[in-house]
Amino acid sequence: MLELAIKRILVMPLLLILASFVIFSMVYLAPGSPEATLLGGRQASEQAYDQIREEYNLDDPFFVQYTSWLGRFVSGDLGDSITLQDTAANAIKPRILPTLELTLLASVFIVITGIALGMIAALRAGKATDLGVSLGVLVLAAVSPAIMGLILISVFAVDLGWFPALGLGDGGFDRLQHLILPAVALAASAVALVARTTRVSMIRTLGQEFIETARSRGLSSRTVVVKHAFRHALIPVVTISGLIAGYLLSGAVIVEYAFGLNGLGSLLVDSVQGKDFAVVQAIALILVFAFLVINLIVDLLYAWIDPRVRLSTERTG
Amino acid sequence: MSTWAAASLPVRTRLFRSLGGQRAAIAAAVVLGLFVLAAILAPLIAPYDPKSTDLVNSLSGPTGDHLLGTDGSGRDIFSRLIYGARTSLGGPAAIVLISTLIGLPLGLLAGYVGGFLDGALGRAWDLMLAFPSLLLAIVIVATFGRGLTPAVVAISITYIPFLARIVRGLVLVERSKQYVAACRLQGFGTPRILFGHILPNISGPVIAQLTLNFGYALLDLAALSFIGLGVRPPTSDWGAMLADGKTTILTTANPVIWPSIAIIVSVICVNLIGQAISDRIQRSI
Amino acid sequence: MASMLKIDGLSVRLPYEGEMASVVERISFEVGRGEFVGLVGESGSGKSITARSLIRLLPSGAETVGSIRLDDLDVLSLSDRELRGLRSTKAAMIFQDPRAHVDPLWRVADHIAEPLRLRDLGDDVIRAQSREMLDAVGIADPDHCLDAYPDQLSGGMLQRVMIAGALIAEPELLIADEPTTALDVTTQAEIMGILADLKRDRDLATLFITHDLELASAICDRVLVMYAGTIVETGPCVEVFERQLNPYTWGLLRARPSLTGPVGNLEVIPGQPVSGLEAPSGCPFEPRCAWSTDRCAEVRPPLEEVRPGRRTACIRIGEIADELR
Repeated sequence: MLELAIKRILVMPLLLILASFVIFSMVYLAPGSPEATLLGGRQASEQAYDQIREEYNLDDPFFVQYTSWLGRFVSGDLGDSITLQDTAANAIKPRILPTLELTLLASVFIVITGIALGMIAALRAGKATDLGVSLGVLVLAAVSPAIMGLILISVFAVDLGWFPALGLGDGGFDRLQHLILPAVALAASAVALVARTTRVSMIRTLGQEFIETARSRGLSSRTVVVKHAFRHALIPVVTISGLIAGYLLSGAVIVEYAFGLNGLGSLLVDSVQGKDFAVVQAIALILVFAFLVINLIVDLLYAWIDPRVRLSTERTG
Repeated sequence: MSTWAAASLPVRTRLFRSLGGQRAAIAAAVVLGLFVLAAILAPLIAPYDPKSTDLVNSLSGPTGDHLLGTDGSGRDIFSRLIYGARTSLGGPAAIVLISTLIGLPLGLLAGYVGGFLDGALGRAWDLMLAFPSLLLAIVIVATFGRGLTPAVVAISITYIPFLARIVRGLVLVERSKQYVAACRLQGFGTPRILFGHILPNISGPVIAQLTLNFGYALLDLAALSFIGLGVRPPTSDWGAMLADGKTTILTTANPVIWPSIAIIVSVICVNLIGQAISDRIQRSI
Repeated sequence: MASMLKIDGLSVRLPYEGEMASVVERISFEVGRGEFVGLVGESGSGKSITARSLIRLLPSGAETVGSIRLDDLDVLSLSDRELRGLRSTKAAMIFQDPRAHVDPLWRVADHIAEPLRLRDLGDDVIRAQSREMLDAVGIADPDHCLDAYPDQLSGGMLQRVMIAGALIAEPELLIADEPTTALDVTTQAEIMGILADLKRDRDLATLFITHDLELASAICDRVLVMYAGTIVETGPCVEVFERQLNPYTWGLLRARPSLTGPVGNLEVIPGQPVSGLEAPSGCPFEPRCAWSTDRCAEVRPPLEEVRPGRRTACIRIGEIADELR
């Protein structure tokens, strides 16, 4: 188990470095000169061009530029924002927490609702409840965060007035109130995926032979499900958590934009629209890092839950 | 079929049948076909020019003049919906086409030839998949500029690793089968084996996946347009209409409802068709 | 001998393609206390369904008619709670593929201890009993085995673990559904040895399901032969093995090459074995039987005693018995 963990932990930084290389190279891949790209196509004086050239060491060989960029990044200097006239770090810092809160709330929602719906549908497979859930899932899967967000705003915020429509609110409970609709919007189609996966997996698990053994020993249906079927059925869900994490990070961008939340996602959108290149690069790298870390945790979790995975690396021959 | 197995039909098939099964899928295909037809015949069907504004009548609900109402700039929503189908359905089609043209051959090669090529491609996919998919698309669009074409290309790129991996997996299973060995013994070249024999055998799951991808592409493209990085107003596009409607959401939901319905219905139809295809495959196994 | 298990007129129907199909048709038999009875048949004969019906372990939608009396309890009329009590104390079942039937996410210790956890026993008591049980089934290093996961054990060891898990609750009836079919021949012999020891040491009534008549005759006291959902022949094991009184049983043995004598041409029963679902009216074996007459296809032959302790379901046995050599 430890050996597996070490192997995975070593691979991750490699991917991160490669990804950072790609992100860095964006400046050169973009049409036009690097200086123009960094300036966001704005009209600038000769002086401004020189400043940019110096700040980003554009006269140095490519690889040196990359390493110094990476070095600065790691030590906290994420570049400067053209649009905000401030360091990128200062622009980004206050945005991290809201995005974190949003994605965490959405995750809780996805896990609880998705798994519960999937289990219920599986245990009543073929009957009315199952049908209802499956239909609901079919519709939910088609509703992207953008659509869900707008609908929720319109129905629950504007028409019914149960929740505030936009913004983050003032901390504590008010914050929670502001985050509920966005979290639901973000969670919606992932709930569909998790419910569907859980349902299929649970039905498959209940048809497995070791369930028969458990029943033959006089265990009640409930005990059989809770003690044996549950863990097995959840394995595929753990497998797709990586996918869901990616979906959450992408979806957060959309939802923050729709609800006017000042998170990392909306800053990303603003920066792309405002052609604030340095900020875009910084946020991209942070999100990739978060994504890779989450995937690593998922991999380790998977190995922990299923001893067969652990054992396949430990067994000899 | 042993008496034991006979007692329990796969639950999925039972459920699929009760969800309407093949009939639902056919209905879905018809609906989708109508959408496509409407998009093609737009100039003939649409009552108004989708770009002509009429600020006096802006944000009206459905009326006699405007079947579905007007948006914030007074444009007829119904006409915009019809014209919007061109990019909202054509874009995903292009995305699926591009990502398949690149991802399919690469997956076939990686799965069949293996070795260094497979390893190198695998690492490339790992790198691409280190980015959450929409984020990668955003980064690409940020680099090369916004608009329909960059958005389509960007999303296509993000789909390549998924498709390549799935195809590779399918090929790996086929490779060890006897008909492949038979082909090799007969001296068939790799391209012939790959495209003439292996590809037809895996076409079922691949087509099912492509159908699902169409749905995802629809949503992704609409999302990009929604945040202003894809198709932008005044061009009609369901995602762009959502972006537009967002600005007036606090007043009325009407401009947002119709493109939402269009997107939801399209994706549901696509998913039903995809499910029918994969059920067909399962049944023939 | 007091009977542990008494089956009378048992029929089982399963839902199949929208209808109810008969897979077991009016069978009757007994298993005495401490008696080792073999239930022999090919796939589709209904033997596995019969085994499972004894503790009502059938798929949902199954219909069971008739009488199943286990230690004088009417199994079919037990409430859910009483049924669970029956499964955890009186009867235990072991299955064909141990790797599929033992939860791979659980350690051996937890698997074996599971039946005991339904009672109130201390952890050390449970561990001690588990160790003892593993020892009784011939596992060399019980402690190491207890801490292992199923994936780390061989098929033979896993089957022993399953047997241990079944017997730890001290049942009075063991239902063994082809416990050795998925194992190689050497391991098969070991497991059969364990079952023989257990039979001797614990006076355990056993219903041993198998497709191998020869295997059954090595260990069973009595054997019941099933075909197409009905019992076609019964009798003491060795007697049936040496002298069959039913064309099907005769054909079954002829079709198997002998490991000891010279091997001539293998005789094959023409046609395919038929399951209860497809059984015709009249004698189910009639289409494939070399001695069949028109009368055979009309009426289902009843299972009748033709010699002391020997029963067969064949209306022509009186005439053809001498030809079945």
